[in-house]
Parts: sequence; structure tokens; C-alpha cells
Amino acid sequence: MAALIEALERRGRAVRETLLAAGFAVSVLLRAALRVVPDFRRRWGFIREQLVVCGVEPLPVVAVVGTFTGMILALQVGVELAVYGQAERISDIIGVVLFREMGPFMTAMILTASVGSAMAAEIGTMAVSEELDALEVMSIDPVSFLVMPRILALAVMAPLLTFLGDVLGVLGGAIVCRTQLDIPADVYFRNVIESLRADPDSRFGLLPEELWSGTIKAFVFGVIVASVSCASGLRATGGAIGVGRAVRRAVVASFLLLIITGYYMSWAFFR
Amino acid sequence: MTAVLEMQDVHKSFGSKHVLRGLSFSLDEGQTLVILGQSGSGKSVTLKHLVGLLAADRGRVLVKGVDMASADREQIAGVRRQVAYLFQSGALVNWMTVRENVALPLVEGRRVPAGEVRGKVDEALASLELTEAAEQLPEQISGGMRKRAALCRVLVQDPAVVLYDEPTGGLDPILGRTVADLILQMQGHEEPARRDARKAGATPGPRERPEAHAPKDTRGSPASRGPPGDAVRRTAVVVTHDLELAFELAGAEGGLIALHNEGQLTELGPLQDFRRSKHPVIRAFLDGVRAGEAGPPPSR
Repeated sequence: MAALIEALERRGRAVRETLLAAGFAVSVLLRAALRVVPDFRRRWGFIREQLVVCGVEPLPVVAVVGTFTGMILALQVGVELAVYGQAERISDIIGVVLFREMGPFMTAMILTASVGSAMAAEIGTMAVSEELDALEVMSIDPVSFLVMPRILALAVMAPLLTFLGDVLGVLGGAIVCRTQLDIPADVYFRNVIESLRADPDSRFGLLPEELWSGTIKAFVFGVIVASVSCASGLRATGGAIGVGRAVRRAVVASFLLLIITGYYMSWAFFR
Repeated sequence: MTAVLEMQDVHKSFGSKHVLRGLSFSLDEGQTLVILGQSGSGKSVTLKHLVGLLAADRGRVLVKGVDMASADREQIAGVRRQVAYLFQSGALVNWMTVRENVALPLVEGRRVPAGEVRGKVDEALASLELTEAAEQLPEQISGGMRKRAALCRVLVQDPAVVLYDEPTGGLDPILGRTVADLILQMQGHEEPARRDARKAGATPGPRERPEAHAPKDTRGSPASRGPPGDAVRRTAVVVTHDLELAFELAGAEGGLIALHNEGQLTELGPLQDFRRSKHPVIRAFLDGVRAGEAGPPPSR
């Protein structure tokens, strides 16, 4: 009985801690959003640095993953479609799947692993070495100083990286279609462009819905990854181990939120 | 006269650990309180209450008359603009250069115009002989230089109240002495070398010359406020294990000393009373023996 109560207590503490962390992340995001307009000019130098960190440094990984995602998709689906004599339809599928779902999700995963974890580690290290306390004592708001530029930078760069990953995925698919499935490149690209053409009857009007839904998703994913990672870093305590815990918490929470949010956004856009 | 710093019956717990158990003290303008105590006794926790980094579970913390528990963000910001805190680790922002770190409280906290910041920062860096390290990152300089840079960040704010958390901790004796001398000057006290030389009527030798490492008399810097005897003294709380520094600060005019023991300040008062104390932990500190070997605590 005592063991059961102890287990329940532990579970209860974990749930409480998760709710507190979620509430804190939301409050950090709101506070950062409120600082964008008043502090933008003062923070421009740091925002520019963060644009490089969030956009340029992960670029090679996004490029490689994007290309190979398109190649794998083309190979797996193309081979099955070829059995039914529908191999040419692969280009439609690649365009739609990459731009709607895979592109934003894969890019957000990469950004979580490379940029989000670094954000949690940097801010977490500052937290455990009293640097955040020092900022507060000097009347410097850590959210405006450290968090807002990071969220803004990732929110801007995530859609751009996603678009790049999508385009490279389409190119990767083209390579497989040409070399493995004997689909001419002109047919492949014509079908891809056709699949991404705007549907005037859709809620996005004259804008291609795959492109815009993917861009909105990527933006939201960027905000989620940066907010969760920074909030996790701000809550770090207990030296190097605490920083490690903060990074792990940031990565796990980001992955879970990405997949759940991704589903509901798809549901909202395409149901 | 309203006390500048005041703690009234402050209690603070972290989980089951009761760190502060009714801690009280009051400091007027220009007074210096030196707090000695064993590691982990809650000395830094006490300091953090004074800048609102921690909130008391019970009791009151008043800084310049502002109750830190009921103060709004603006009031706390106002208090913090008058208080500087020298963290034990220095707490320099690790991705900013020494110059940027020193400028930080002026640029961000006090919104001093950019034109003025440059001059003030250059002056402060020069006064602590950090000009050559100005463009380096904290990780590229030695521990002593980091401490000096942190002290420089305190100096440039020209605060009315300074909280020093183990300012000489982790430094070798020479660097520790240098930092201690800087603090003595910042607090408006005469450095030992200068004082001894004056008493002996002689010029100090090159190693003892305070100018070698002390803040130079520069316009606007605290050291410029006249000779040590006439200097405006800051209110300060100094947490330290450095007995030499503790005695110099507590032994000066307006100096107080106490032992942080069992969540309270024990034997709070002038240095001479503290030195005469029979309290076993104080005796252990002063005589360098284990607490249990110094006899039973005095009856209250």
C-alpha cells in the first residue's frame, strides 16, 4: 500500500511539474511576444546573430535530410505505384506530402535537435552559473534580452529552411524517378507543379494551399521549438546535470508538441 | 533615520531544509556588515533576499524603505538600480566581451546614452587595469581578471548599496589581496599599504603601492570622491571567509560583523565584541579549531 501511495505521489509530482513547465513556457512566449515591438531595434544586433545561428548553421543538415527524404519517398511509394502502372503519380504525392507534412515536420525535428537543444543548453548554463540572476539584479529582463531574439529568429528561419528542404526533397525525388523508375524529368516536374497549383475553391484562395499550410506550420513549429527550449533553459537548476536535464526536457517536449500540434493543424487546414 | 537595508525575522525554507530562521539586521547609510559563516549556512540566500531574487517565507525585507514582498516590478527595478551585486562566480555573461559585460548595466539596465557609456566603461576598465582584456571573452581571461571585471561592472554602476558574495573566494592569496584592496577602496576605506605607509611616514614600496592595482582617481568613479577619510561610504553587506578582509571592513567606522549560524546572525555587532565572543563556532573561525573543541556555547 505504501509503495502504491509513493508511486502515485511520484506520478502526481511529475504531472504537476509538467503542467508548471507548460504554463511557464506559455508565459515566456507571451512575454517575449509583448517585447518584440518595443525592443526590436535595441535587440537587432542579437536578432541578426540568432538568424545566422537558426538559419545558416542547420542548413547543410536540412539540405541532406530534405534531399534524402524525397529520395526515400520516391523509392518506396514509386515502386508500389509501379506495380499498378501508376508510377507517374509519384510526383503528385511527393509534392503534396513534402510541402504539407514531411517538410515542416522534418525541418522542425532537425531544428529541435540542433538549435533548440543549443538554446536550452546556453540559457540553462547561464541559469546555473548565476548569470540570469545577475541580469535580473541589473534590471535586465532575461526574456527580452535572451528569449525574444531567439524565438523571433527561429520563427523567421523555420519556414525558409522548410521551403528549402521541400525543394531539395522534390529534386531528390526527381533523381530517383529518373534513375530508378524511368520517369522523365519533364513529366515529373510538370506533375509536381500541377499538384502544387492553387485551388481557387480552397480556403487559401489563389495561394497554393500546400505551400501556405506548410509555411504556417513551419512558423508555428519554429515558435514552439524556441519557446519550449528557452523556457526549459530558464528553469534549469543544479549545475551541469541540471543543464543536461533541461536539454532533454526541451527536446522531448518539443518532439511531442510538434507531432500533436502538427496533427491538429492538418486537421484544421484539410478536414 | 530610515535604515537602508533591513531584514526582520526572515524565514526561508527549501523543501525540508530551513535555511533562514528568523534572521534580522538593520543597516544605516554608509554601514558595512560583514557576514562570516560556514559553507552552506545560507549566507548567499540572505543576500539574494535583499535584491528580490528570493522571497521570504515569513518576515520582512526592506531596502531603502521598500518592502520587497509587496513591491511591484517598477519599485523592485528602482531598488535594483541603486544596488549592485558582486556574485561569487563573477556571473559575467559568457558570450559577451569584458567591455560589453561592463557596459551591460548602463546600456540595458539604466539606458545611459551610448556616448556616455563608452567613456564610463573605458574609465572603469582603466581603473582596474583591464583595458587590454577589454575585447576578450570571460573564458579567455584568468579567474582573477574575471573577478576584477565583475568588480568593474559593480564600479561602473556607482551604486549606493553593494552586496559582495565571497569576493575573494577561489583566488590565490595575491589576487585575493588585490581584490580585497579594491573593495576596501570602493567602500571608502584606506588600504592597508597606504595606511601603514602613512602611519610610518614613508612611501610604500612598488609592490605595496596601491596605485598598482587599485581604482585610479578618475572623474565620476567612486574613487574620485576624495581621499579615503572623506569618501562617501557605500552601504554594503560582505559575505566572506577572508578573515583579513572581514576584520578590515568590520573594524572601520560603521563596520559590523556577525556569524551566519543556524539561520540567524549570531553576535551581530562591532568587531571588538565579536572578537571577544565565546561562541564556539565564532571561536572556531577566529582560532582555527573545530567547533566542538572550543567549548560549549555561551548561555543566553
